[in-house]
Amino acid sequence: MALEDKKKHKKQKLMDSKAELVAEAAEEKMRQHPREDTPQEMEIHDGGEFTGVERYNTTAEIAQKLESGNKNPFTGKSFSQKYFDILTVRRDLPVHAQRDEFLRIFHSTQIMVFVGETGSGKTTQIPQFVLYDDMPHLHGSLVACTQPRRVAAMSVAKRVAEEMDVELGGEVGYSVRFENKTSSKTILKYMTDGMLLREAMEDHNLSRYSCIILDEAHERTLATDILMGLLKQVTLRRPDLKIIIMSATLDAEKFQNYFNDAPLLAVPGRTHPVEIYYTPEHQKDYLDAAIRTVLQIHATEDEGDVLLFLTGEEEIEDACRKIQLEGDELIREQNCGPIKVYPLYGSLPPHQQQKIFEPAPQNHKQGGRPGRKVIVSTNIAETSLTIDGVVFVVDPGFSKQKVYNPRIRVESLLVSPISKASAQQRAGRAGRTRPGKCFRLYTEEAFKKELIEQLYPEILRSNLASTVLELKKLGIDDLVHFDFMDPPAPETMMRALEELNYLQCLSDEGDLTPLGRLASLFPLDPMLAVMLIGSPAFECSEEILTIVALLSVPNVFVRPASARKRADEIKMSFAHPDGDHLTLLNVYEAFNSDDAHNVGLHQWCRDNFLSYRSLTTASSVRSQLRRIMERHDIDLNSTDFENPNYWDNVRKALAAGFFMQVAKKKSGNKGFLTVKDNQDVLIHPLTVLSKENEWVIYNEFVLTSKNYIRTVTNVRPEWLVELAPKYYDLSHFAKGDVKLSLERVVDRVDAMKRTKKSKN
Amino acid sequence: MGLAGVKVKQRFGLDPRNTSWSNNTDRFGHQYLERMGWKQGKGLGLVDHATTTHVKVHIKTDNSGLGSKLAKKTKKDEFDSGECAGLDVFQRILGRLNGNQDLVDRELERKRNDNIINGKWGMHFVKGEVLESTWNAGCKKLMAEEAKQTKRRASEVDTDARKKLKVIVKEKKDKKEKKDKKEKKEKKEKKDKTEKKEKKEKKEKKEKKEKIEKKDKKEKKDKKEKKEKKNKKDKKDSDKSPSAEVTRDEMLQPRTSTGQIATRLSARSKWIKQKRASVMDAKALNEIFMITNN
Ligand SMILES: Nc1ncnc2c1ncn2[C@@H]1O[C@H](COP(=O)(O)OP(=O)(O)O)[C@@H](O)[C@H]1O
Ligand SMILES: [Mg+2]
Repeated sequence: MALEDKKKHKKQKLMDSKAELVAEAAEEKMRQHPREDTPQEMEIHDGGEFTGVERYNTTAEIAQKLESGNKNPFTGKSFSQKYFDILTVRRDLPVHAQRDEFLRIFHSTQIMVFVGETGSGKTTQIPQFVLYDDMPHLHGSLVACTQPRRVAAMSVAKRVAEEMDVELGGEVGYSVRFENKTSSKTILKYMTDGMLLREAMEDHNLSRYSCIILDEAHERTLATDILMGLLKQVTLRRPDLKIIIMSATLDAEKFQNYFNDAPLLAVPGRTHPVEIYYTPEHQKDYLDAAIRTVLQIHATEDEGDVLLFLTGEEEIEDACRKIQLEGDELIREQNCGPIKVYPLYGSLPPHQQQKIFEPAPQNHKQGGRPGRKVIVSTNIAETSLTIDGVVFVVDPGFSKQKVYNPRIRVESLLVSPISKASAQQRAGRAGRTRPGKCFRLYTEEAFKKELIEQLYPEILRSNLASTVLELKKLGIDDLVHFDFMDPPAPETMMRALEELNYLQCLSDEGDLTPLGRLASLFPLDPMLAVMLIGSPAFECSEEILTIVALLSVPNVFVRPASARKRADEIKMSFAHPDGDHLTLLNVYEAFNSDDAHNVGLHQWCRDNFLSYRSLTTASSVRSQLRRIMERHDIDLNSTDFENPNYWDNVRKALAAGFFMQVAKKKSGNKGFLTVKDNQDVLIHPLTVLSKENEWVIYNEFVLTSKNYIRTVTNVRPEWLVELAPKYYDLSHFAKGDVKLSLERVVDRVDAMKRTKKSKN
Repeated sequence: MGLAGVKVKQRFGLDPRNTSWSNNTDRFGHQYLERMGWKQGKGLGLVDHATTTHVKVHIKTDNSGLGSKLAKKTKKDEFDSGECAGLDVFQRILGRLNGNQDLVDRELERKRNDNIINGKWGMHFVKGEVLESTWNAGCKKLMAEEAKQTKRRASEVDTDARKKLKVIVKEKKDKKEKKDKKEKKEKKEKKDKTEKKEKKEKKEKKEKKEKIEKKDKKEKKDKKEKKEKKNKKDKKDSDKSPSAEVTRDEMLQPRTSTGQIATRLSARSKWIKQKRASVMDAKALNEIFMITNN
């Protein structure tokens, strides 16, 4: 009887939240067997070439002498010839002339603002200026330089490693989500702003760093904004920490004001005039216009590379294909020079990113027209990466921008008009090497009337659940009076708090729970983290791990325009009738099967219309998440595949995580209604799910002319009311179809419980 | 308009702006913020410019270029003031012609390029300003004392840039004046030809003013008329000169044979010569020039 009670009690507790139990257990285990956190040992050197040089008291002359010496002062090795070649080029960059000026201000103040026109050498040179003054290798510290984008962090780190004549991952490394290329030797770390924020959660004082450079601050990403607020506090606690805020635009007053009138150094770039062209009229199809413009440039303009700005991976790949195809035709028909087209976007693997720096193709025909390189990029090439040799810029005036509506809880990347500031930056890219031209695919009137001056900072356009969790983890409790540069909308903050409360990451008092603490350790959306932490209770954490990893990478299904039907057919061979999440699981299993390995993974992916890149990334994401789970004693388990409960267990675990993203089929009507927020939605046509299901969880709410939910899996409503009783407290539901159905479900569940009891 | 408020036809749910959520002040989030000292209707943080609502956006659902709203508006204006349509076409012609004369000649000589441009890839552009720097340095003052040194250095560059800028501005002004002049002149020339039409249009306009109530209905009709008229006009133009506007469909069609182009070109250069003669100051025609049409 007592045992029975205990069991029942345990069951009751389980119903509250499986994830919470796991978190509590993990914390308890940690307390009992504390694990030595093994921080990377820093290598501390003797002075070497730096002997006699005084920290924070150097000059440009001292630094240049060291730079021009025989030995690399950071490694003790001899400099290579390539190093000296690059050094000559670097000395030509505009920031170089300002080195003494920079050092003087750097010495005189804890926080400084540095604005330099794009291409002036901010990102590559300033951190090196700091290294030669700060000498972190002698003090066991690090210099960090943040970037809003992972592509930029990786690409710039590689470049600077070359400039400093060291191995990438040695003295110079990078750290981005799911990829860390640093070692105990690392003294200069390029990283995404999000990664630095994660580090701050573990080490509130960021004590490993002697200098932190926030680059591209003008982009006002969410993480940079939070970091600025945080660093403002950290600098009070750590007078030895130096901060440099770097921006490419001149409106630095905002940063100066925010950091209590921090001193400013401004370095203009060395740019050539750029002629701007507008279309005489509105373009019906900007993509088509963009492609034609690029080809026209290739056919009629002088030598010089082309940079075309588009909005996203799919569009870019499509444009690249078309331009290359038509370009080849031009070569044949019009005797044009060879043309080489490169894509550039965030999820591109590093070796392909690096290709954009390759020189334009040569025309081997004697006296033939010049070859040309065309780069088709997202706005990453706007200020983050500088590609020399670009003379022509084609700007359709759009980029993908995040928006968030806290009322209906939808975060979406939408194609929207860029700002005037962005348009000018884009045009400026044409004047790097010589006078250039910028072709705007819109009218001058549209430029003046349709473009806003400046984009809204990301913090005003994002779901803040992760951010609030991070802030809480950072020990910031008063979210109302946090010193935001631009405070988010109150409703956005409320939504974040509420989501975290329902996920039981925040207690009803608003304090971080053990589950919240554990969830914050995962570089994931809190909802996914909680689902993962709770999954062992359903005997399927290995499966949920796979699904979470696949949801964290770009779409694995490839659907080329030329073979849509075939691709869809093949997708159906992986399909699980109960939903897309389960289908993902099937795909991953198949990817790891012997069959696939025998065929060769590349070939197998091609045959099956799957993205090799996404799947391999998912593999690596998975193993990293797995390591975090192991480190925190979260069980890794799996139900035997022959067990009839295998799929239901996975679906239950999904329901336990996605209970806030549920839609119910409308009775007697086409379409679904999101539960609680009551939004009309349709299931995205690319689902494998048959439409008969009544209750589905969804991964994504897509805003288009129709509202779609994408990646859906069928669940039972009983699970929802059992697994998330707080969220499904029906007294908080608006009257209507959903509430009625749920009431019936609750009655059914209660009745079942009663009969069970009476049987006992 | 919230995110859900899209102008594309869309079915709304019961509560597309979810006011039942936002009006409920018992929610955890609302309570929590209030407990921390936030007041309803106020923003967060320590600054006074804090926002109180989320950013609202328009949802783009097609590939139409930037300024489609403007384009629609001007089209509407066209109906309202008959003259605009003519002006639009007129400006386009200007756009093609008013380039630097040398450039025009060179372009004309580059038959090969024309061939391409008139082929499936043709794109027209109008020359705008010259960007000297992504920094609009002239109007921003740098704050830091320490930065003075830099500023001096920077301002050397700046003055240079500014000089250039001034020159450009001045040029632009001249251009504009001359353009205006030219426009007038051109208009006159054109007037004869289009007088009839204008009269008719004016009449229409008057009528419209009188019958504002019936405008909607009428607009539709006008639109139709307009279309017809435009077609007619286009036709006329193309009879008159080969430089008339090409439709996109035409542009997308494969290149015409070279022989045809040659005759077209000669016809066009003749036309250009005429136009040139009609413009007193060739240098003033500095505006546009990128691409010519068939
Ligand atoms: N990956 C690279 N390959 C070759 N050159 C590069 C690379 N990255 C940067 N550079 C060179 O360094 C210069 C300065 O770049 P960067 O420091 O990124 O400027 P900023 O940050 O001020 O925009 C660029 O103009 C370019 O010449
Ligand atoms: Mg940079």
